[in-house]
Amino acid sequence: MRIYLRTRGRVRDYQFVGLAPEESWWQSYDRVTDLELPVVLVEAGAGHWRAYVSSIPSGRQDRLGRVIVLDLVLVGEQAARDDGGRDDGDRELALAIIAASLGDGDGDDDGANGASGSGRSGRLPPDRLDAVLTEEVVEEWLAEPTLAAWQDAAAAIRDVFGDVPVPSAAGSAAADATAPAGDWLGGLGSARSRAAFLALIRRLLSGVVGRALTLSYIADPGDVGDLRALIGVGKTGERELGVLAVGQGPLFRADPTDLVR
Amino acid sequence: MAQGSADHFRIGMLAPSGFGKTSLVTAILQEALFATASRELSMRAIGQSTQGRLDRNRAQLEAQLLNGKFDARALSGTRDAFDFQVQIEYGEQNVISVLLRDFPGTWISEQDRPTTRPLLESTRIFIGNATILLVPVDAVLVMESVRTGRVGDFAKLAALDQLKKEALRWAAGRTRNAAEPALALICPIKCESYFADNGGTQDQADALRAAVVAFYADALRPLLELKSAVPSARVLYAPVDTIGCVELARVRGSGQEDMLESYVVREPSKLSRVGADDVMWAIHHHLLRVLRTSLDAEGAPASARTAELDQLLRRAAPVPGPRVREL
Repeated sequence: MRIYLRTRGRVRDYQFVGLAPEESWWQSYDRVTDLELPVVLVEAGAGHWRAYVSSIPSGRQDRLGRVIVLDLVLVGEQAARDDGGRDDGDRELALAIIAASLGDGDGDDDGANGASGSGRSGRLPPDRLDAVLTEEVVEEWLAEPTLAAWQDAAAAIRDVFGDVPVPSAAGSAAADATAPAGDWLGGLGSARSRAAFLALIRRLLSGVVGRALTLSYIADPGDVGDLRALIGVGKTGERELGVLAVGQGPLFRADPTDLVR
Repeated sequence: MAQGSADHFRIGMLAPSGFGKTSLVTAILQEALFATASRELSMRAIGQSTQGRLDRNRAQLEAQLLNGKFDARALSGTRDAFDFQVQIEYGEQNVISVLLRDFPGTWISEQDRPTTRPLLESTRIFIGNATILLVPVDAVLVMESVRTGRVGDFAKLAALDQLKKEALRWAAGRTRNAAEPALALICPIKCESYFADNGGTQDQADALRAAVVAFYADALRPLLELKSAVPSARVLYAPVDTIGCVELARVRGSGQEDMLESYVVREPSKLSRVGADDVMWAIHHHLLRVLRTSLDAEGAPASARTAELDQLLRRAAPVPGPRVREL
């Protein structure tokens, strides 16, 4: 799994540490979700998966005193029958990061709380994060975009999240039994929807073609029609789409509901 | 129309991180979209994303003001490029859409890095096709640089060398398309403490303008020189109170990299922006000129559309407010 970390220093603005992903693919979602707020976007197909997990709060501040956040782009291989579980550890790590990022759904996800700001109530380990990604270390990484800085940052993320547990709901029999198959829509504030979301991501990391997205501009199921047009759902042979509505809209606490294609 | 696409006019911005690109664009669009539509002019956001961002920004500001404080720390920085999209109807005959791009300032200040160069490239193309260029300037940083004599620090923080390169690119694009009017707006933001026309106690408007003109003289020379190649080009100085009801109380820190501003909120604790509408009206005036010029270039005969544009142009003041100056 390749791990790309984006963050900033006191003065130096947001940028990827060392190396950047080949494309800023998450930007294609900027019409359907507010990318300045916490977001989880996972796409899988053709043997690969990629995830964008954003706005993880740190204890550092920029020169204006604004809370500095971390964005992670994770890129990996889907599980193959003959890989002997070689990348299982990476997939578990990705699931742990995503699950921690989703939190328990009680956060204030409308972003009105500003930079305090992740909008998640969080299982994130900010103390541990700041102990590893200190201001001094990050400033040094950002000073020179080198391969070594990229590798060090990836190692640090593995270190920080390595012992964060994956919730049992992700891929558990209970979640699988209640999760809708195909396309569905739920809310971040619903435990069932979060469990279904994590279970879907486990399937995506394991070979299923599809997407799992947290989106802020979905106010009702009727918006999903626009969503499909905006992000091209159904054009790429995707089998599954799971959407978690975030924000304070009526869908926030919605259990997963099947969507008709 | 040579705005790069038949559908969209583009408005580009140039400034490094923390100089107020997002504050400026949200201020002018929020004020414009909140204004009552008339028969002659109406604006609306296209899609939920533009309105969503504007609403979030306004909610953040208003929540703070309700608490009786303003703290820049509660505003987040920009991490990805975003195009604000609006549709403007000038009368019944002229409906256009406008894209205004916000992007992380590091793409300007650290433009040669391998991690930022590819990202800047698409924004450079966008700015190159922009009919209007906005240059936000942090007024507090300018005035504090004057007060402390740290002009060299300002040049570095404002990325003036890189800014000049990008200004040259934009001016070159406008020169290649010299038949179309061009507009550059130099917009100091956070001006609340330097004007006395919006509840402030001090009038340092002249000092602010003099400092901005002096600090940016070299960086913005390509824009000022553009007027010799594009006679219809204009460069306007248009300061904006992006909040309105706040007063700079204290600046902490020994250098600009550590500078931390604190503000007190003036009663009533409500957004009262001044200058944002000046910027918007300058934009409207320019777009009307571009529309009219394009019809002339196409050899369009007199029509209801041309008559409507002529009427609107006659009514639109070319220099919209008392704060605005032609440079």
